[in-house]
Order: sequence, then structure tokens, then C-alpha cells
Amino acid sequence: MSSDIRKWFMKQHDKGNGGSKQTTVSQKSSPNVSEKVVKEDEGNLQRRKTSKYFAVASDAEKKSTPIVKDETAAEKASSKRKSQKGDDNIHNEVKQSPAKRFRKVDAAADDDDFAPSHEKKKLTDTEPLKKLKSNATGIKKKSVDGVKSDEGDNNDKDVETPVKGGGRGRGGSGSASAIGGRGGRGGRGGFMNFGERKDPPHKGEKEVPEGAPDCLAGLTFVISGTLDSLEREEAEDLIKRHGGRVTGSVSKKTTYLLADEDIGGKKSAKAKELGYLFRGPVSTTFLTEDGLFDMISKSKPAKPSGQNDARSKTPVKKDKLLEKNCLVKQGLKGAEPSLGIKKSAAEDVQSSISHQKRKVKAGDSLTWTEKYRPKVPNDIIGNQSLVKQLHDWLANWHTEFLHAGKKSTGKKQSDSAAKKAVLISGTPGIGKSTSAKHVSQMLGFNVIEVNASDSRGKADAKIVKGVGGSTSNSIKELIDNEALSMNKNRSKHPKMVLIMDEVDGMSAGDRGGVADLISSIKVAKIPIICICNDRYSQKLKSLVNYCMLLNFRKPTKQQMAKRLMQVAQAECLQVNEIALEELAERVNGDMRMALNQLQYMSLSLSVIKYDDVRERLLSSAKDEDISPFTAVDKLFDFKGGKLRMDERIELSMSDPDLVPLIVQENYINYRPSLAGKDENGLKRLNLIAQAAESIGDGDIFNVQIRRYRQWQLSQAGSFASTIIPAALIHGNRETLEPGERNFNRFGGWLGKNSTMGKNLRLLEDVHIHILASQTSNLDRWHVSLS
Amino acid sequence: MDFIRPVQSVVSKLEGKRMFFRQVSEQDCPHLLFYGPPGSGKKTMVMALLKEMFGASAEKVKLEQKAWKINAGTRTIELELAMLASTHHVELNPSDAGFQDRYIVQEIIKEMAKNRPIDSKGKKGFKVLVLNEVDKLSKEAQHSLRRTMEKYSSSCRLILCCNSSSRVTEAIRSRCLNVRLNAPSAEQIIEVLELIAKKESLQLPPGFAARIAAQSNRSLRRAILAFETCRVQQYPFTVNQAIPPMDWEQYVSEICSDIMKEQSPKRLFQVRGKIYELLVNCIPPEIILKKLLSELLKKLDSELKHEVCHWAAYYEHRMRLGQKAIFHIEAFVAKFMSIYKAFLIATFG
Repeated sequence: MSSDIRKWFMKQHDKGNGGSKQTTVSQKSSPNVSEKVVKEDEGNLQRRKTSKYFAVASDAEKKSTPIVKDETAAEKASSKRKSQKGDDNIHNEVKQSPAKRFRKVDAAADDDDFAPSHEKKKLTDTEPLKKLKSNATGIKKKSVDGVKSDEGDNNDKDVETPVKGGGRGRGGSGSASAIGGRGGRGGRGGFMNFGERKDPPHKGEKEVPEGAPDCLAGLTFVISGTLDSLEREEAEDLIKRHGGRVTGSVSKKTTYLLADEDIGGKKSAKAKELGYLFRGPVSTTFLTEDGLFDMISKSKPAKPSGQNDARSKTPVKKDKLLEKNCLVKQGLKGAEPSLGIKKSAAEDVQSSISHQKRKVKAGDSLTWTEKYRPKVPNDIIGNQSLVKQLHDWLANWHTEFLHAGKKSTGKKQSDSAAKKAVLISGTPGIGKSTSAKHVSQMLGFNVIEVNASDSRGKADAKIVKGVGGSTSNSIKELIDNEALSMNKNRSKHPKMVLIMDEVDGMSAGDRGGVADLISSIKVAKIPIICICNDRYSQKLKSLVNYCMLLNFRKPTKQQMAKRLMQVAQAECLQVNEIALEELAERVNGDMRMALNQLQYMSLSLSVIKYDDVRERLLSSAKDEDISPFTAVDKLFDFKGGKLRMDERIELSMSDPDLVPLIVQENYINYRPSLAGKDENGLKRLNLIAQAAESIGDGDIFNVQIRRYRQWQLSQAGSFASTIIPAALIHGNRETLEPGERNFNRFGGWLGKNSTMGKNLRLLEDVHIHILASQTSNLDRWHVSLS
Repeated sequence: MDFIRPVQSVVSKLEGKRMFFRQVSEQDCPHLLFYGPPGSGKKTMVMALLKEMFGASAEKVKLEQKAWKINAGTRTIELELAMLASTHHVELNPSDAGFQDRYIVQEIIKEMAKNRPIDSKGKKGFKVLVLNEVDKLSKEAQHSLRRTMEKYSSSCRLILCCNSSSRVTEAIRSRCLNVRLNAPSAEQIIEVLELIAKKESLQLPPGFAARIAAQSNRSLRRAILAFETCRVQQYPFTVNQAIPPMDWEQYVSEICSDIMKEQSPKRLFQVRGKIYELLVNCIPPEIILKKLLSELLKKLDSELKHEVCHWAAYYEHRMRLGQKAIFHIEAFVAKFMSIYKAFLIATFG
């Protein structure tokens, strides 16, 4: 919204610069325009906007008052209006916040506003918001009068800017941007009316622009509060799709704080603080959603005119934008101006790619997971301290245990810090085996890897039997032999290390495997590294006591993305860093899976973008746990009727026990959209009755399932208990009792049932005592009396 | 409670069951099934019968809380069951085990039925198992019961008690001597109350007993209990002393008037809360539903009565099939609300 006004301003301004010196402001125009605008659908916004704007205009009239005061007057006027709307919080914020910050927002917006040359104005004008358009055109119709009044305004600003320019910390800013700033601020003021709300006030009303894929490259966003039309996730998605980076909290690196309302939260406070502290190359500025849309939509022409950019660029943003432009021109998506590789010149990238190409040809048949397996411990992503710990342990093993063992007959267990074995645990694909192997190799150990999960095969079974068996066989022998030979002649024989991989996979086939592993650890003369996924597994309970525990954590997505980027470059893939981060996030820290996915994608694509990753991994994202509450929310949502049947089944089956209970607890609270308009609520009651009956059906199904183990009925059961009621009742939720929160309650049945059970037991006791005292009575009746 | 003891003799006298007793106790006793509405004296009959058969030793009972371990195929089920046992009989409530009642019948009862009584010099060569609330047993449990009844009839007699014989399977009914006990008439109740008053030497104003009897819904137990409550509240009885109704009944009629007053989701929500309250206090859901229906019927137009009864029966049936009674009672209330609202709109616009 703000942008359009700004554009319009610009237009007028250009004309004004062209030499028109009409400064008379016709008072008439103002009521006309405002009237017209009020009629628009978005009356609220519009009114705010125009009134503000006219406040300024009238300020312009009274040229006698000092300009700075004009500023504050306008500010105050806006804040007053805000307070009328009862939004004290925001009101205060605005009052405190000096104009500077808004200016910065404008600066940001301006960069893009001015990026396309003026010929493109028409195109952009039509773009984002209908209401805006109507506003703009509405005013345009009045052009003669309107222009004049605006001219007044513009001129006023022209005068104003030089005065304030220095103070704003962006020297040399043109008058145009100042006007833009005005518009931008107006926009902000408008949005502030909406206060804190959960849903975006204009959800789905705005058309989300599409821009060049990299228009936000190198910029870091933080989203705060509620946006005007986008959900938080949508906004994140939008930014990421255009190459931007979204982080959770404000830091020095944050470029923009995306907020449509200043809720005065921590983020904005920090941003302000940082804004003051670091007015350097990267400082956090505020940005509205519309500003963001503008940034994106402006980039669409994909041919940003450098000249305009240069002109409008403020010193604050200069380097960033330059970088962006040159990169877009070069079309080097592979070398995003991410923080890490910022300075890397194009040639560097080129040469490295060509360098890698040769490598690629050499080992084409390998899977990437093998190919890019870390070669040295330092390559391992994350858990560096743990790797170091492992390294130290292994390095000191012999001195610690073998020699100490001679003295105190191998019983060194008392020292809790020094255990004879290590148990590495962590989720799959984060490099446990790899690090164990590499650390061992680096220290010159000979690695013997026993893969416990392969042990069910015949060949390996022998080895594991070796661990498992009590008689001397291969592993035990190995341990002893090696120890012997080491004792005799250490220098000649390489040191050995035994890696027991996947010890939690030791199950039925390897009876007593863990116990014997423990006994092996006790007598072992070589270090043993055990690796497992789940340290808290029952099977490993005893083993844990004998091992030093190293819990590997998942690498962060940044770490993963960095590594993936290296791989991608080595494979001549053009990948966006944001896309890689998304990939890393989706695979949930599993580096191996990430690599596999990347390789898979590389087969069909040579340029991988954020959207590709999203699409590919959408299915895996679906596997996330849905809490019963969200499931019920979705089913009963206003749009619940549009869900596909399989989606509904999926939702209802997410927890076939709890979901029906929550449904039963809450179905009364919904105002069914099926009922349409019924004045007396009869239709709604009918629907409720139907739903209640269906829930009863569900209960009957449940009995059949539980008592007679007719599990084939489970789908029908969830259908009756959840989906039918949801289909009948879905709509808006309303509260039935004052003070109730408008969220789904947890099913009351469980609690009530357990209370009932308790009371029944008490009753039973009473009953028995009565029986014992020879008075015969049926139990239930007593309670009703007592 | 003090009153209840004399009632045994009272009831047996009233019912004129002496003949029956003698027959049963002197000859070989068949399996017995007593059924009848609550407060009609089934348990009293059983106790009297046992006394008749085994003499005073049948009254010396002790309470046993026994834990049973049952092997049911792949898993073992642990059950705890309270039973009341004398040397001659064991009384238990197999339906307490809920849906695991079938294991009780299959294992525990069979186990007990197999063993002959130790008492050899007793005149009876069998022992008696008294099973309460047989109508609450699941179908499977009842089916497994019927074989037990036949197979071990030489060593064991079963006495079954229930409210409704229709919920006992045909097979079991045919194996038993069915004894229906009618609810006592108002006159009989008055008679009993007067008898009690005489025994306890209480002054009973005329008409007071009749009022208690009228309110007791033909349940002798309730009549006696109400009588006792009245005495506790105010001893020298006055003629028009208020007889306190059962609090849960009061509550149900409250719910009923709630429903009649307003039919809306909000009201339904409140009603649900109240029904939960009743259920939590162990009022059997069937009784709630029944009471609710009778209360509703009092206030309904005759046009609607038939339909409402139909739905009440429908939901009661479903309640029996299901497990979570609240769902079905609520469904009934919702259904009623929608019917009644439609009716109101149709008649009054």
C-alpha cells in the first residue's frame, strides 16, 4: 500500500521537479478525496492513510510553522488516532521511536522502488493490492486538484529533507526518497491499527508477488509480530524462495526486521538498539510486508537499471546492493553472496569448479556419501569437541590402560573418567562411524570394524559369535593375541582398535552379545569403540556403565549447508545456499540423507533452487508428528470441508484414541458452516444431534475393536468418531462459557472416567463392608444417598 | 440400616414364599435365577434361602479379597476380586471385572465349581455360588457360564441375581429355575413401614407412611431408607414433613428442566457437565437415562412422547453396545433438543 502511494508521489514529484510551481492547495480536494476513499472496502486503512496524508498537506499549507514541528505534528496526529483505536502499546512505541528509523525503512524500500525506471511504473502500479489501486486511481481522477495539493506536499518535503538529511544518517539522500519515506510511514501507521492478533488481518487478500529468484540474496530477515496478510510460514517461504535468509532473532547480521506493527517486543527493541549501535555496513532496519512485496515485485523485470540503483542507494545499503546487482548480472547463482563466501570472486569459483570437474570424472560411480565422506577429522561437521575427546581418549589409551593395567591387574575401572571403551551415540547419518574411523586412522590404529547388524548373515555370525561366545574365538583371540604381540613387540605391529558398530542392533540373533561385549571390554587389551543410535535403549543399559559416553549431536543447518555447498561446487551443481539450508532442515540433521537427496536431485537438475528442494522433500515433511490438537483443529477448521478424504483419515488416525475424545469434547463449540443461516439455531442442533450419534457409533466401533480385536474396523471407527462429526460441524469455533479460551479443550472423558473409577472402588469398599455386616444391598444405591 | 434386618422375615412373610423355601431346601435345589426390579427383595430372598438350607452357619461370612492370576492364551491377566464366603457359599460380583469378566467365569468360577465342599457331614452335597448382577455380564461370559452350570451341577449350585432377565441369555435362563420378584405394592410397603415403626417404637403419623411409599417408586429399600432419613432429620414425625428425594434424582430433574428451558449448544454443554457429575458419582448410566426420560415425559406433549421414547430406547441400546456412556446420553440429549426445538418452532413459530 505504502509503495503505491510512494510511486504516485514520485510521479507527482517528477512533474514537480519538472518545474511546476503550483503551490496552492485547494481545500476542496481533501474532502472529496477522503469521501471517495472512505467508500472503499478497506475503509479503515484508507481513512487513516488519507487523513494522515492530508494532515501533512495541511501542514504544508501553514508554512509559517517550522518544518520539524510539522513532522512531530503529523506524528502526533497519527498517534492520537491510534490511541483512539485503543492501541496504547503501539502508540507509545511510535512516540518514542524517532523518525530516523522510519526513514531507514524507507531507504530500504526506496532502493527497490527506484530500481525500475519510471517507465515500469504502470506495470508495478497494477500489481499488489486492489484497494491500493483504487486509492491511487481515485486520487488520480481528481488529478488537477490532487496534484496541486501533492505538489504542495512534495515541495514541502523537498525543503524539509536537506534540513534533516544529516540527522538521518544517510547523507546525500535525494528528496525523492524522503517523499517515499513519508508514504512509507503512512503505510506503517495504517497497519498499526490492527493491534496484536493471531491471524494476519488481511490473510489471503493480497496477491503475493513473484520476483527474480535472487532478489533478496544476501539479505537476512527477522520476522516479528503479525504480518498484514501473510502467515509467518508463508512469509518465510517467500523470503527463502527469493534467496533471502530468515533467522530467529535479531543480530548484527540482520538486515531487515520484517514487521507490520511495532509490537514493542524484544526483537524490535533489539533491532532498534542495534540500529543505533551499528550504523555500519549492516544495520537492522524495519520493513513492512508491503515493503517486502515491493522489493520482490520490483525485481521481477530482472534487469535492474544500475543507474537508478546507484542514484537511490543510500550509503547504508550501498555495498549490499552493488553486490546483489553484479551477481544478478553475472547470473552466478552458485556463488551466492552468502556471508561465508562473500568476497569470493567469480574467477575463484570458476577455477574451483573446473578443478572439481576433473575429480568428478575420476570417481563417477561412487555414491556421494562415500565420495564425500570426510577424509580427515577436521572435515567432520559439528561435534568437534567430541571428536577431540575421542581423539584424546584413543591417544592416551595405551599409556593409560596397558601400563596401568600391569600395575593394578587390569582393574582401572575405579577411575570414572577413564573407561576402557567408548560408546558413541547419536541419530543416524551424523558421522559417528566416520569420526570413529578417522580418529583411529589418524592415530595410526588398525581398524577392525564389526558391524553388529550384519551379524545375522552366516559369515559375520562367526565373528559376532566370537564376541558372544565364551570360548576363545576370533575376536577374543584377536584381542588377546594382539595384546600379546603388542606386549612383546610393539613397534612392529600396528596398533589395533575394535569398532563395534550398531551395538544396539545386537538382538535376538546374538544372544548375550552385549554381556560378552562387556566382558571383552573388561579384559580387552585394545581400545573398543561402540557405536549406537539410541543410548537409552534397554539393551545397552548394562553396557553404558563400562563406557565413556559420547553423545553426538546433529549438526546445525548452517554447518550442513556449508558442507553441502562444498559438495555441490565440487559436483558443478548450481545450488542456492538457502536451498541447501532448507534441505538440511528437512532431512533433520541427517547428513547422509542430505547427500543422498542432493545426488538424487543432481541427476535431473543442474540448478537446484529453493522451490525444488521444497517440492522434493515435501513428502518427508509430512511425516512429522501431528498433535491430536492440531489434527482436530484442521478437521474442524472453517476450511475443513475442503480437505481430501485421505487427508482427513490421516489426521484422524494421527492418534485414533485421543482425537475422538477431543472431538467429542469440542464439537459443540463449533458453529457449523453447513448450517448456513439459521436464525433459531435449529439446523445447528440437528447437526449436533447427528454428530453426537456418529460419535456414539465411534464408541461402539471402539468396543468392537478393543473387546473383540476387530482391528480391521479401526478406519471405520475413526471415520465415525472423527470424520463424520468434523464434516458435519466444521466451522468457526465459539466459546460457550464466558472466560473460556477459544481453543480446543482436552477431552474430559479420561479424567472423569478415572474419577469415576476411583469412586467406584471406594463404593466397592463400602459395599463390601456392608455385605460383611450381613446386610444385603446393591451397591449403587448407597452412594446416591450418602 | 438397622431396619433392614427385620425386613428379611418381613419380606418372606409378605411374599408367602415359605412353601417355596421348603421345597427348595428340602429337595434337591436347582440353579436359581432371581430377577426383579431393585428393592424387591432378591438378595433378601437369597439370604433367607441360604439360611434355610445351611442353617445359621450361612450367615457367618467373611470377606476375601483375592488376587487371581489367569492364563489367557499368550498373556496372564491379574485380577482382584472381592468375594464373600461362608463355609457353604461364595458370593461374588463377576461383572466387576468389566470386559474381562469372561475370564472370571471361565477360570475362577469353574475352579470353585469343580471343588466339592469339604464339609462331609453336612446334609447338602453341594455348595452354592451366588452371582450378582448377572445381567451385566458380557455375552461371552454368559456363554462360558452355561457349560459350567451343566458340567459341575453335582457339586455346585448357582444362584443368579439380576434386574432384568431379558439381558440374561436364553441358554442360562432355561437352565435355571426362574423366580420373578415383583416390586412390592404401596400397601405392602406401608405395611412394612408400620411394622418397622412398631419394632423401633416410633410414632408414625397416619398418611406419612403412604407418602413415603408413594415416593419410593415401589422400591422397598428406598422406602425404608427414606424413612430412616426422615427420622434422622426430624424425629417426632409431623404429618406433612417433607420427604427428601434422592439427591441424584433431584439433579436429574434439574437437568431435565434445563433441557426443556433452552435448546442450544451452550445448554447441551452444561448438561454434559452435569451428566458427568452424575456418572462420576457412580450413578449407573442406564438409570440416569431412564430417569431423564421419565422426567422429560412428564413435561412433554403427548405427540412427542412416542418419538422421544423411541430415541431413548435407541440410545440406551447403543449405550449398552458401547463403552463410554456419556457419548450416548449426550447424543440422546442432543437428539431430544433438536426434536423439541423443531416441535416448538412448528407449534409456536
